[in-house]
Amino acid sequence: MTPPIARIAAVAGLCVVLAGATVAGTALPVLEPRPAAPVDPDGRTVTVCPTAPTVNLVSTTTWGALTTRPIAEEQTRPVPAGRGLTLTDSDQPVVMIAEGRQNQGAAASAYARHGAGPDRGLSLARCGTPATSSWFTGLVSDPDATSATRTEVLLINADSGAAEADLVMFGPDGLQVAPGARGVAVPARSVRTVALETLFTRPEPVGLQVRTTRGRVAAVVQQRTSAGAQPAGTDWHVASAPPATEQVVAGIPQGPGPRTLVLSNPGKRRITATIEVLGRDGTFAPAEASSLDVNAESTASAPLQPGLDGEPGAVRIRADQPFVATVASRSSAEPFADVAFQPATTPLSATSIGAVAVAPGVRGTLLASNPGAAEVIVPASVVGTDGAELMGTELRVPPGTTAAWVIDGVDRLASVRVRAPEDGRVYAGLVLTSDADPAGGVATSPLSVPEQEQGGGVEPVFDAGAGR
Amino acid sequence: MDEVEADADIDVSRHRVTAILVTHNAAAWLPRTLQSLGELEMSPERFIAVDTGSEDESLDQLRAAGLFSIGVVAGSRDGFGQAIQQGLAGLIDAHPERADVGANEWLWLLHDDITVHPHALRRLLECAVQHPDADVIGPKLLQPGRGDGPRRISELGVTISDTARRESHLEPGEIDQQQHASAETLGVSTCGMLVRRSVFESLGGLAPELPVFRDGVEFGWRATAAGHRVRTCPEAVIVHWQAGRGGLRRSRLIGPDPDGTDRLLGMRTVAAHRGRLVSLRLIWGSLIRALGFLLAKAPERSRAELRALRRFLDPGPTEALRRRAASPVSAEAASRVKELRPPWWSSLRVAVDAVADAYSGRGQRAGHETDTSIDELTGDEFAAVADRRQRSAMTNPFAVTLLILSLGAVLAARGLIRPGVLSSEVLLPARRSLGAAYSAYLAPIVGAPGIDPPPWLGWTALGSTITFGQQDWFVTILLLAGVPLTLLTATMLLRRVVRDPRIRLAAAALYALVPVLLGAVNRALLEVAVVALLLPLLALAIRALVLRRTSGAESWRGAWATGLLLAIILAFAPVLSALVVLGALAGLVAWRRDRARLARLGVSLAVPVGLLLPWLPSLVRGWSRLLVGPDAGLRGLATGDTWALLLGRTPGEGLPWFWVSVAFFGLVWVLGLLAAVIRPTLLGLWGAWGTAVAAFALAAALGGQLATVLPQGTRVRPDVEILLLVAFAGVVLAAALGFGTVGDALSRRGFGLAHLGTGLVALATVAALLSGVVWWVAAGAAGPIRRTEVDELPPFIRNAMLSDARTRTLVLEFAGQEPAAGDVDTPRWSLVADDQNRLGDADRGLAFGGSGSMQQRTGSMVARLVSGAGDERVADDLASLAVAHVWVRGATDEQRSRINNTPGLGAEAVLGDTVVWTVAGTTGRYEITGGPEPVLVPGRAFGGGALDVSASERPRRLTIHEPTDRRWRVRLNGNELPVQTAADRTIIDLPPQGGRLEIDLPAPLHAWLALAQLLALIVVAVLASPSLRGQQRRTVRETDTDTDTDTQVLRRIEEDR
Repeated sequence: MTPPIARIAAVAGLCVVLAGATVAGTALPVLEPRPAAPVDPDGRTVTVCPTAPTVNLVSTTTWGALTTRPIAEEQTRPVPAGRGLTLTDSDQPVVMIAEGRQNQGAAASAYARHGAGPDRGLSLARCGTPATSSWFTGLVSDPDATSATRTEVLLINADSGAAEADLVMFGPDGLQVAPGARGVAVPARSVRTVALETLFTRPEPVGLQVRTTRGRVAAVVQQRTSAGAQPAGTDWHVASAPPATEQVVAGIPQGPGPRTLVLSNPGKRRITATIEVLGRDGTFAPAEASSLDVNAESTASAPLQPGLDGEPGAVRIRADQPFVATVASRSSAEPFADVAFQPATTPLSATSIGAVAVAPGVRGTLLASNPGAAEVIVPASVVGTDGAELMGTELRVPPGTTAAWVIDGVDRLASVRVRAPEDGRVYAGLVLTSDADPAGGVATSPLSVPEQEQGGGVEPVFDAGAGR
Repeated sequence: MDEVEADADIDVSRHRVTAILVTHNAAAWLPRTLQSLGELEMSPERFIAVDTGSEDESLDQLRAAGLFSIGVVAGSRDGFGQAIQQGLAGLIDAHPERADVGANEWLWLLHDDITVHPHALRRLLECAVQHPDADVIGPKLLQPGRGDGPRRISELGVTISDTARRESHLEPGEIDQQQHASAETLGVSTCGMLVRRSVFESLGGLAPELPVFRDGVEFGWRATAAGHRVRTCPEAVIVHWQAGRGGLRRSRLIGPDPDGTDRLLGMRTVAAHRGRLVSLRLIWGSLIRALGFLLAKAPERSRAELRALRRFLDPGPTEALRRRAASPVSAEAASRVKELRPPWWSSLRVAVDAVADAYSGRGQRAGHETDTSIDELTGDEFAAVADRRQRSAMTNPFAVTLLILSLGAVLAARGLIRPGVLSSEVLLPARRSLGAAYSAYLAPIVGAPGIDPPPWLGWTALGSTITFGQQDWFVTILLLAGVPLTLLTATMLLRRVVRDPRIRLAAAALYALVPVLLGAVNRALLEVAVVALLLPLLALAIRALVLRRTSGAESWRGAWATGLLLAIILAFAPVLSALVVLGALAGLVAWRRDRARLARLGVSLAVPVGLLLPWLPSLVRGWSRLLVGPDAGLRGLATGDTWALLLGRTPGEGLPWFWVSVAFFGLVWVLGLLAAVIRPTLLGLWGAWGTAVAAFALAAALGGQLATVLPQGTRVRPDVEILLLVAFAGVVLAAALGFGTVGDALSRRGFGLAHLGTGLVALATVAALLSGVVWWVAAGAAGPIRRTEVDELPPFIRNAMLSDARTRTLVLEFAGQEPAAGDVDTPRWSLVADDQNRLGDADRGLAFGGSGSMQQRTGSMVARLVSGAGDERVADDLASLAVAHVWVRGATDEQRSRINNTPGLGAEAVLGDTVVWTVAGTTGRYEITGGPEPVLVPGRAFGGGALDVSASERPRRLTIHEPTDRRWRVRLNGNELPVQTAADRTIIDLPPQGGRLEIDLPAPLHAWLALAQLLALIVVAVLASPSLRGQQRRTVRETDTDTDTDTQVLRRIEEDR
């Protein structure tokens, strides 16, 4: 017969051992694997710039190779890594080829300043990548009016194979019928210019999708205005962010001129967009333009100047269906005022670059807008064409506002580099202004966000179960 | 003792009986038969003797007996049925008036090797009176025995299964305790058969195609189908010496091999009555049996089986019998036949019983077990047999539990019983063919020369062979039928170690539910299912290793069986090797002076090491693979609280409701601890507890650690579930051992607190069991486990991957909706090839094989692809991996547009919510460039290819788009060409001449090792199998002149036992 004490000891012993094992297991450190090395997007990308008096190529890294060539030529020339290169008076579009890390650390912009002539005014365009689909809105084809507007769509094919594109236009009352807008052939390594007036004429702004059926093109729009027989202002119009249910148009310049928000709805259902302005002091619904109805496959516009009241800022537009947005600005209310276009853009990520942020005789302003709920600090620096940093700042952007950094004291061609904050979303745009011109010159451009990061800065995750 | 008082009131005088005795070379035992017939209390009206060409003194003895009014001499090749017919003809010749058959006229068929009880005929007739619808009545046939000892029942009604197995409804060696009552049956033996003459003649008598055996059951089958009734009459007793079956009678009809003849005639019977489809099953079953006999170290029986099969393949006799066997006359008759025949699963039950017996002491016929003693007859062991004897499964608790759990398994798997392949996050879909299953184990891993596929793939392929080559069936059975199967194996163990059937049942049910409640079934953890099934058998084998005497060849069987089971278990769950080492150390200490046992311990450890030897170099390269199970690279990095392990809760989906875990596993711990209180001195209990504590401690220690799984070097968490299974198995066993004698102890005491406490424990156990079963059935196998069609990719992509080009496909999945502002839609990607990712591919490095860079490179391509940067190199890079298609699901327009920007991709093809791009520059995995067009070298599954190339003066280059591997061998007309390696490709400059170009990844050593493994496995399996020496085939042998017939018969019978 086993004594009771032995029985109790047996159970107690077991409990102690089990508890000990549990405690020891809890006390042991949990090992975590070293995070996997980030995927190196080591590829080759091309960036295409329209023909311009000045094309500034910027490289922010010494890794990888960066070269450039005129579009029709085979021969490339190197772009000094970590510095950049300024091309002047190119008579054809320019291609920048980035290999390795350069495809995340290089950007280019086209810049023009004309005191007279058909391209009068300040013009600035962020160079873009060839794509199978590009979106624009706010294009006007009204060459015969007193205050005339002519629009040309430049289809640049940088690849070695021919491309073919369809131009789909969204007019004020539905799809704009435009014979000849389909199957526009663009031979390899060439540019094809399509004047919208050859397709249709109407005073209201339209939306445009450039859609390739073969190959890919870099599409840029150039819009020229005139008052009577005199040229007024001109600017490039770069592709807008693709249709989404929320768009932010940043970098709306300050000044007394008209500001027109144009929305295109490519969907099959009518949308009602709500509009908010991210101003200097906070977010508000603009007077007379707090919402805008856009019919299916149509384009509509609303004036923003009563709401903005001459202040710089950004607009955030929301709807339940995807749409495309742009703001068209003029330097003043004068008939000869310069024009500038601010397409909706993606938020900054990593180091975004404005390849032309300031130029001789032209003042640059960086406008950063924070649609989030917390203040963000945006470090920015101005770098000369020799790669030297000329000035820098840490721009505080309170929530719901737009902050401006005026780049004073630099009277040479220089770029700006903006570091995206890790803890918030920031949209930014550049404004170039020139007081030397009688009616005031203005040009705007979104920043070049590294394309690898534009996908959301995501690192695709390997999952053996994908596709099952 | 078998005397039953007759009912004096039953009048049998209206019945007329003609007895027909058939003799053949029976001089040795005929006198006793004749004597017993002479002493019948009630004699038949007439005795007819038919001698079938005896060459001994049988005829003289018949003449001398003076019993027979009619004597017939038939030919020596006439069977029993023909002899009876000739006897009847003799009757009619002698008495023409008897050609008309009277209503109550009976034939009593008698063998020559019987001792008829004096009241036998009267009892048979009384039975006929009491059951007037009975047309065929069979007596109780007893085996002869020495002295007045207990007699075993030889036969009391018989039926036949679809596998031609004789089914007697008797336990092997069942003792006659007059426990049987008269019952309907399909057939009775012709020995002592009382049959209405009208019925006998209307059915055409016994089938001449079955001259010696199975004629009784075949006749009964025909009689039942014709609407007649066949009954047993246990009150009528005949001792049947079974001279023919025992191999004592020299007979041309029986031949030298009575068992073979019996098998052949059985097969004929079933084939004739059940149709041609069953014939095929019989042939298949016969082949399996032959193999089984071979493995059971009984080659003679294997040969006999094949001989019977060869004779069965002669269709003549079967066809003749088929013509004789008419269809049932009515639906009622058909249903009665069906009712009286064994159910389809009876063979399965017999097989399970046989395995159980084989692995228990009972099967150890050549061992040291003695014959049944009176003690055994009155002991629990016999009671257990009597338990199982219950004819109705519905009154047998084990059968009911098995039924409930089987039903539960079906209900729980309700969502998974449909076409498709079983899969989960950690279970890749099964391979399509058996060949692919074997190749997964045998083919070398491309790019990983030092790493061999793990051995669980070999076991899985072997298992799939059993399930007719369907690997998915094998996986499905393991996972979904795991609970009832585990109940069976657990019962095999518990029957040996626990006497109380209630405790046995409760413990087996608790254990069977552990894998389910650990979430292992819902997660489809193959290793847990396999180990749960085999762990009780391992415990049995270890028990034999510990307890069995160390003399005799059979004493090594436990060691071989332990080794074999360990080789399977450790292949699936190598983490258990830590426990094996601990156990071995304990054995070393305990048996340090017992050399015999140490030798057996050595064998049991050497077998798994030997069988798994080819895997050891891989383990040396990545030892932490020991910590994880099959396709380990798919396990995640999740961790959980250590205390939760006490409740069987590990991180991941598929777990039961929290309170179910608390109730079930909490109860298991409590029962285990109570058992330690009840029987603190029981060594087995502490062995079980020791195992449990060691397993739990290991689980607690490993929960937060990391294992590196080669060839991809994936970091994962160790396999904790398997350790918890062993821990809870140990506690359940400890509980069963502790509570095993509680019933006995309580029965000796008056009702008191102990009874109340035990009742409460029993109640709690039932409640916990019920909670587990309810969750299992209610929630269903609804966790990560699912059944997929593996047809997500469109057919043209699947075809391309399986075509000569053997292209790969880049698979991308997006969330399928616009991400909320500020969120990012992180795409998941995978690279698939061949037949997509299949079972075992994770251990073979998936589509990346052993390449250390391919996954990283592909990841880079994906990043560039989705960035929308229009990267110009992506298409070339994809082509360098032989990626021909990019398949994307759930991409928004913008994401699609981004991918579309990539130059070199063909136009997108939209298929529902998926989009496919073709990579224009991809030719295939093996391509020759340099000519005007790239030339594809047709590739094979698992690497390699061949092509007849023509001569060319232009410089040509063969590129192998596979992970680099120094084993790649490229030969042109048999001449090996030099190879150069680059990142994940191998380049060969081809000479100008043409000829046969062959690309191989030879691993000759691997193939030889696999062959050696197979041979070693067969040897170990044979050594581990129970020997059938005790059931050696009976053969006819010359009568031993020094020994009398009785002694020979008794010796034969004892050998049979």
